[in-house]
Amino acid sequence: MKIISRISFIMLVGTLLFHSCTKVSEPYFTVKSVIVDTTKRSVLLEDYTGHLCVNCAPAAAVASTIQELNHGLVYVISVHAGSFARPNPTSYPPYLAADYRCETGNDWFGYGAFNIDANPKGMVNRRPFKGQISFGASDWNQAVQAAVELPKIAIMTVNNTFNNGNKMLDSKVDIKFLTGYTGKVNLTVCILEDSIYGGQLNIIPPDSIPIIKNFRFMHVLRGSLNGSFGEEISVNPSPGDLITKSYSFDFTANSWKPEHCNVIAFISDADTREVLHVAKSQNISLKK
Amino acid sequence: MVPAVTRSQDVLKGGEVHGSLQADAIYYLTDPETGITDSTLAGKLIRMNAFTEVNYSLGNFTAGMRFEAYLPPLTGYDAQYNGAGVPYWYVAYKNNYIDITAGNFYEQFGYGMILRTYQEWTLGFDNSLRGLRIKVMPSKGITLKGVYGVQRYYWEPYKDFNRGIVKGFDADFYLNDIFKNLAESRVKLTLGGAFVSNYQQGTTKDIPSGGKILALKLPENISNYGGRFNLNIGGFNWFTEYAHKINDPNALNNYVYKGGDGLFTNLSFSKPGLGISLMSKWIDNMSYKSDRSVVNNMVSINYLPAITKEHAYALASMYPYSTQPGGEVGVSGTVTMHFPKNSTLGGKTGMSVAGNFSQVNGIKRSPVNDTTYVGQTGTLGYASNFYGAGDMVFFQDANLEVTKKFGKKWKGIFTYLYQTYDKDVIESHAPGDFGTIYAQTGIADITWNITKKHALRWEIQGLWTKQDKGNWVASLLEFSISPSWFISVMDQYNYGNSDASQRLNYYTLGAGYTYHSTRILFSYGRQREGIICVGGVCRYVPATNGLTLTISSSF
Repeated sequence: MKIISRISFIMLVGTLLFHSCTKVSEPYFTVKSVIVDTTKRSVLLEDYTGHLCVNCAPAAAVASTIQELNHGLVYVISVHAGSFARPNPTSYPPYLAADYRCETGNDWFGYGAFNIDANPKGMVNRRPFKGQISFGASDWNQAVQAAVELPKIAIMTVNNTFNNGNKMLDSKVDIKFLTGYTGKVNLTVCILEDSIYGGQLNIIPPDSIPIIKNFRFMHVLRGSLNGSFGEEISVNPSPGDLITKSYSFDFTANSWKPEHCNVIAFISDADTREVLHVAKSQNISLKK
Repeated sequence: MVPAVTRSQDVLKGGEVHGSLQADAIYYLTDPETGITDSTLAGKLIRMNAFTEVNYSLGNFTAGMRFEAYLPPLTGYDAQYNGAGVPYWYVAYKNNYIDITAGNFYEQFGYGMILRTYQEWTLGFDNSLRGLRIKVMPSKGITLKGVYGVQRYYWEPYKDFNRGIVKGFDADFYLNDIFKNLAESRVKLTLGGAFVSNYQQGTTKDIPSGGKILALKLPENISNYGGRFNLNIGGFNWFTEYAHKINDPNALNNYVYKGGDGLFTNLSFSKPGLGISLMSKWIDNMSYKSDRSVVNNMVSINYLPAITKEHAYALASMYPYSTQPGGEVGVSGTVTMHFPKNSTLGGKTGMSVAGNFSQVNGIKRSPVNDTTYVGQTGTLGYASNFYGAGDMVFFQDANLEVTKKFGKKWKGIFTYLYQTYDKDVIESHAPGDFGTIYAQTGIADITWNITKKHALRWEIQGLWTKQDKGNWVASLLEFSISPSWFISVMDQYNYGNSDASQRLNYYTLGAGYTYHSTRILFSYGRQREGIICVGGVCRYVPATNGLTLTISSSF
């Protein structure tokens, strides 16, 4: 009897201590509206992707959705890098033969920089989120919402002039610091291309097909105009500091469609590489 | 006055210290043929994984700790392990009634489908709990356990609810000890049950889906519970465990709200010269982690049993099975027979034969309604019937192993395998990227005991497949001087690769020395790319080339 009462007591305590379940009933979600506040810090969302990566198509959709719902505040760069971005002309020929990789993307992806260990992975202003510098798409929106709450440091504009005759692009970046900043600041200026169509492996519903043969790649990083990690433009900038930088690029050396391209510029801490502000041009206009 | 230090010595008198250590260090070489370059090695040419574990016991008290160093981690191990420290320590008190542990501990409820924490060094796997564990043995045949703690996540300390808090309770009743009239019965029965709950802070999570941001309602307390029994009658033994998990939207199941179910059963029979084992399992949405956003092997609270055979030979282990926690259904059977000396089949020296078959399929899933696709975020996800197998064969393995002595000095082990391996599913590739591999493997392992101290062992292996990297042949020659020395040379040659530039030799030279409980191994050569699995939990192993030094010891 003593034993039975002892067991009963222990089991009762165990049950009281441990009986904890949370059953969630439908509807399991609400659709959240996002209010865009352009006085907040702008955010660079880098989507490290590859056309051989079966989970990358939905991640790209996540990135585009976050940019769309945070118009003017979030800018996406799709960085095709790593083994899942390599051309694979023998699988589903010719859909996976294209090579969207570039030197800048490879530099960012590699051990020397952000050491991205898988696709899809993303970075939000190159700031750690939950202790990780790169993380999965399910965390991107939360990381973005955390990043925009930081004080706005600068305003930037990017303006392009394109000569349709010689295919030369002139791009001007203007930066005005709103607050002071302690440290060295780099400026990185990159070219992105939208609406590139090609094969993308995929297993995710609703498509649930092995390959999307006509996938529309957006925000594809084509390269940098001033080096993979940019150039130093200021040390300990003060409020009101104005900086203007100009760059030129010759489109005749490649097959990119200028009208699908735009220029994205971001300033970052030269030591930590954290992105401090981002701006993007309109797509290049072919009109003189 | 007695000096304090003298008192301490008195208190510690009679204590015992035991421990173990291991260091695995590799000096990596670039190897353009296998794609190993300075860039892939990131300039870190020397890497080391090492641990030292020390346990001290004095009477009813024990205490211990494990120091680990990954400086930096060997290639193929998660870079987040980079660093050194003490991730594991504990103090414990135990007597006949109670067993209390504070600090880190490894625990298992039943077969582990509800809770199992363990460490597997070769996988870089450690899901230990840090907190408190209490075991109570109120009477003979009854064991009650309670655990409360947080799991290890690389080196990241627990703070601000950055991962879940795990609480669990387990009860185990061995009826033959509890009821005196059953004490002498041939029928032995054990009943058990367990309940585990994980608390992870956060009632909502924003997930972009279908062009919208969905604010998902999240359950903060997710429970997993079930029961088990073990029935033993003479040579028969039947163990079964069932577990049910409530709604657990997480990154691995695409944030769906379906509950999970798991069933594992093992019926076995043994008598001298014969052993038979039949196993089956049903797994449906049973990944259970203390952080819903983690998608790798870390912070798993439960363990999903493997029923497929783990092969040790180099080519036989090329296609191991990795448990699919999202859903799988499988069966396996093993028969081992020993034919004694001077029998018809055993001949003069006897013979052992072991046959094994296993097959694992995906489960059949259907939409929950006309407007929801299978696996849609923010819904129940899908519907499934208990033990409803899908058409996809993830894995199949039929193998036969014959062990035979030829006189006093010769012994042979002959193995044949036929495997079906869905590489896309098992290694998480795109469907159609590699497809299903059908492979046959034959192995002869011959040992010549030259003298009582000297032995020569030769392995010849062949793997034939029209898929993946094509045919392989491998051979090993090992000379050992017992009890201390061995030297070996091995080569695996991928002669059937459709890409002529990848018809490579993966050669290895190795030597080892054992002194009491200390072992030193040295090898030089290439390691082929693949996956390594222990108990259905797997790790990717990249191709490497270099010098490897392994030192292990226990005291």
